[in-house]
Amino acid sequence: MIPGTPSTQPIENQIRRLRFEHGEMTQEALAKAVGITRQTVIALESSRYAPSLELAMKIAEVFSARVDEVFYRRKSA
Amino acid sequence: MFRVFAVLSGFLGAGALLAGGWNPLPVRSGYVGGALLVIAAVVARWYWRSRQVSGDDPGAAERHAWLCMAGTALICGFVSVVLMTPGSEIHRSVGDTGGLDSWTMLAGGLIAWGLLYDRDAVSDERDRAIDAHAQKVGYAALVVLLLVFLFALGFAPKPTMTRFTHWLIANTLLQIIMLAALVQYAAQLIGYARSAPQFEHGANA
Repeated sequence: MIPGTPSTQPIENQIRRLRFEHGEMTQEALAKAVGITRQTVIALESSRYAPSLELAMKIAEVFSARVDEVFYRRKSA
Repeated sequence: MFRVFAVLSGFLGAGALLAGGWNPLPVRSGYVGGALLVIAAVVARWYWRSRQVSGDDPGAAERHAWLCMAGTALICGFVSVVLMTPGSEIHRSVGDTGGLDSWTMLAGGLIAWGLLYDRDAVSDERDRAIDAHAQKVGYAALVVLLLVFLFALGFAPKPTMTRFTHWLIANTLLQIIMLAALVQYAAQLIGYARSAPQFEHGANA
């Protein structure tokens, strides 16, 4: 997937659900915790952006989860 | 994507109109162009602040790209028409000095940049990825434009070549750099538009 462009097989994630499960964490708070912009959190949550491995690991750390518990690839039908 | 082309063509057109003699105010075209950029920055700041409430305002890098595209398009449109006008002169101390007007517009652009400057702005890997992709597109555009111009210089008939003075060649090369920059900014903004979700209002908790 080219960053910033839509993909036919996007990397999906559980960020929104995990945010709410972690004290209704705001997008702004998550962005600050991992050093990205709120706009990137929005792009991630809507599967419009595939994060780097480093960023994926940072986000997983915030939620005390494994990377594969946060990010997964949608299986094609 | 429509907004990118609308803003791009709007500012290119405004610059061209100002160079073509359309100036409703009794001041130099440079002041009108500079004021246009400052007003656009004020309107953009108000618009982006209103979008901040719903959480779909652009980031600092995207705002910067909008401003750079608008400013470059205005000056590019202006200088293009000046260059295409027979007998025009940019570097003159009196009269229709396109150079002075261009620099005045640039000063307006700097004021606009100051209005939109955010000290706490951060950019991240998504910004860098979109910027890297846009730079590739801009570089490709620069190479294509240079090849077209070099081909024209090499094969243009002699009567046409008499118009290509050193001054005109230098300014045309400058125009090519500005056009490539416009392609880069447009590609950058299209990159942001593609990675922006169909925003659900109220979803940003």
